[in-house]
Amino acid sequence: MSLRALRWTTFSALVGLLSLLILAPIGSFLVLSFASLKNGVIDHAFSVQNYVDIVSSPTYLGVIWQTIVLCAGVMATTMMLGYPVAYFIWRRSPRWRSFWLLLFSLPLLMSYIVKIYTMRSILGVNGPLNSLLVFLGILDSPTPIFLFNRLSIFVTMSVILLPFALFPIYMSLAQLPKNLIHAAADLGATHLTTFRFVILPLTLPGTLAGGLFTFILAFGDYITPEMVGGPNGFTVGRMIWSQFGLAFNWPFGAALGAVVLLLALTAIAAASLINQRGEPR
Amino acid sequence: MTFFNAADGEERRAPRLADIDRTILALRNISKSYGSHVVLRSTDLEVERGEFITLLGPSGSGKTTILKIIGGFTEPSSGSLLFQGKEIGTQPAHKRPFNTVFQDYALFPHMTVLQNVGIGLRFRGEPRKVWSQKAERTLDLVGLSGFGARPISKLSGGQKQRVALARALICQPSIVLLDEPLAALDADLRRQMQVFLKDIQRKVDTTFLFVTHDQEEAMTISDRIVLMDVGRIQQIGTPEDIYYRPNSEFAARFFGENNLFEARIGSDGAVEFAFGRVSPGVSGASVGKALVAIRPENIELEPGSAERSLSVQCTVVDTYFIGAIRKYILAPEKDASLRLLAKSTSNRALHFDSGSKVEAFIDLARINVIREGAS
Amino acid sequence: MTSIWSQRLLDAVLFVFAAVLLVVLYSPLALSLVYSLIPVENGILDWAHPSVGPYLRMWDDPLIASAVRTTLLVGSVSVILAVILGVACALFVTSRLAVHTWLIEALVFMPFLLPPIVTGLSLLIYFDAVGIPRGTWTIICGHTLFVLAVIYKLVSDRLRALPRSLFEAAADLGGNGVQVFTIIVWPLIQPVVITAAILAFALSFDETLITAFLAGTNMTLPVRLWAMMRVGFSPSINALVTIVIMASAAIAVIVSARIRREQSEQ
Repeated sequence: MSLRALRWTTFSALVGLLSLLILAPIGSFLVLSFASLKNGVIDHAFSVQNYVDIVSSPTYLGVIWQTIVLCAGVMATTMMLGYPVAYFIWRRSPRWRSFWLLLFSLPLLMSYIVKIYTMRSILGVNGPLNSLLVFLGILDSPTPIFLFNRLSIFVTMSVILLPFALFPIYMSLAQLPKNLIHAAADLGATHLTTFRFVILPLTLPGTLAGGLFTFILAFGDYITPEMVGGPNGFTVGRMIWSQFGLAFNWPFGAALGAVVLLLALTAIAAASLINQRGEPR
Repeated sequence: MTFFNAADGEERRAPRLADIDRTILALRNISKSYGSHVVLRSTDLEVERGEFITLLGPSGSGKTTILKIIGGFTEPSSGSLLFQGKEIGTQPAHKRPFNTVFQDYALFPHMTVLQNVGIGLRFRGEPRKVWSQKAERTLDLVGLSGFGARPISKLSGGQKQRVALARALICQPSIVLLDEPLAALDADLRRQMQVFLKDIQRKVDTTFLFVTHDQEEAMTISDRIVLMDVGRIQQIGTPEDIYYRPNSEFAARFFGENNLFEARIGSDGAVEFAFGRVSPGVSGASVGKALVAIRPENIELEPGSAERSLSVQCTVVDTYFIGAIRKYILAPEKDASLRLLAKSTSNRALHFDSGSKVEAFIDLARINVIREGAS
Repeated sequence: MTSIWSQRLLDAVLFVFAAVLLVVLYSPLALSLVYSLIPVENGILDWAHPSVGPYLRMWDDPLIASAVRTTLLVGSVSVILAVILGVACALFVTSRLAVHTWLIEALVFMPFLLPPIVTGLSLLIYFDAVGIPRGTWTIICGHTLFVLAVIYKLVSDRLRALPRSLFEAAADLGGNGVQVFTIIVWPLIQPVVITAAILAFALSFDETLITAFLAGTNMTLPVRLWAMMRVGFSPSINALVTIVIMASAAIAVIVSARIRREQSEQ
């Protein structure tokens, strides 16, 4: 077979297979979002009713907005906590850097479901957090406010997602040209000044990108809200999950999924825009 | 005086019928473009069996492109490639009877020296006993006896070079292609390897096609040089041919140092340039603009034995002692804005300091007149 | 110039901060270990009676045993499929045949970069539309797509690091496509493939968000655990959880050691 023929045969085979498994599912779910549920049966006639329902209902919009706020909070928290840690690791000698990176990345692989489960125990009335606060005298008696509400979703997600935010921040620090820092020092800058005028601005794009990635992950999480959110902790993710579970309204679930997809694509686009603008001019 | 009409170059490149038998590889109208970017213009070349031929030129001249086309790594945009008279352009690289020595050696890092050398035979299905024995013998040939078990990472540059050569030789290819193989070595090692390569080539009696941008290297080892520039062959000849009888300004400038002056050829064939009129000039030359090229070593500062010489009164502007050679920069009194570069061996009894007045003798039998054709 | 002392102060503050955060990050895992060994009664830890009973009783529960089997099966098969597909894509993209590589890369990275909930529900709807019932194979499909990106990225990076002349030399010396792959290319990428496979296996082992959509009666371990957690908890879960944590930690250490060795060799 000639080079050209071999090339296009292989290309078509690979793209065909991948599209079948990746594009087709996305296509089919988008298509389903334009269907509707009538009397418990799916009616495939084209209808934008689902989307109309979403944007016209204060309830749904409220949940979406609340979820955005919650995840933005998680994003901000992980960024703010992750930055000093990344900075700390960056300031270590190269030998120790990999050690610290490993230490902070281990939790990533250590069972997502377990973390949620244990956080539930930790935040509970009988849990160690309450015991610790009572022991320290901050609280008089254990309180249930840490669990089964939006606060607990917020705290749990932040704990789980912190390493995800940490790495992009560290990467952008590591990619700083060393001579810039030396140049700043050479010109008389103190550490604080160098940080404010050189390090922070240059690492901000990478940090934001990491934050957006965290935002996307948080937004699509439905297990955490379900486990620790209680009746008040209703997020978009949970809404979607219930459509495929008890509520059994697949078309509506698909429409909500499309909203999530749209948000995710927006976040990805924003992240790459930020990264591009942050490129050396 | 030699005269070179650019058109003559064409004649020298065309095959002489009597020598067709000696031609092992022929490129006919081979060209290569990437989109609108022409890398190699329509090229004809004949490679003779058993010769050490070098493609020489600056980067971008197209020399590596030719090598890659011959090896089968690049498809030409047009033209045909004839090996022993038969078209091989359609054959994929792994079927062609050529082997390549790459610039970065391209030794397989996960194999030992012996495994690297023997790989060509292994690809052909030879059993381990056969290929390992032959590999050992080839290693002996390149002076690396006993290196078989060594991992690639533990070799020096020169040793890697020889392993790459051994690997290319073991399959007994009809042509060995060498892609600037010595570029990464330091000067001393380079010189040693040049001699070594020439030696090996004679021993195995195989055609070597060598690519380099280093003119000294080309002159040292080649039987013939193919001088290239901007995707085109400028001149083909032995090192002496090209050095003493360049057919273009490019060729004249590329090798060593040269004095170049604008000139005019009159209707009587006389050549007129900055220092005078030379008559009788060349016969059969066409009237018009030309270039006169004078090698510095052909300018004497004391009257010599040359039959005909042109004398020019000069002042020495500067003089340099470079070991075996002494260089003089001269300013002719006739036109002090011009410069003449003269070279002589430094062990002459007489030498001149800056500022002194000398008479420069140009050996007329050894100047080149280059008539640049419309190309 | 910044004084040495202010630098030291900065480092000390950062260290404390990082240490606190480390404790916070590891507390769920550490506590899980504690709970598996120390019985709990109404939130009160009975430190007097530590026991490895939970670890021994772990396998009594048939649901757990089956979930572990499913997880291992899904992990192995997904990784094998992802390796085949990922290596194929990486080879294509870095070879002379490559064309429109952006398309292949976009497709490969999509299941990994999109929110798992979207990947999960899109596959669920798709399988339903095509008529494939939820089960082990749908899970395998989801996991294969999910880890494909990891395998592809690591292998293609490695292939790109190989000088082009190596492939030209192999062809030059007479190797046809198959020979070049088996004798030259595969030995050179094998270490990376193994590293990627281990990492992919770990990711598959832990994957919950996509799997929940695709599981039928046979669940993977995380999904089974989730189902059990909604009902209540039992010490046997803790024991299991601890083992999972230990295994993940071991895998993470192995993978990072391998990656570091790869990088220093290049």
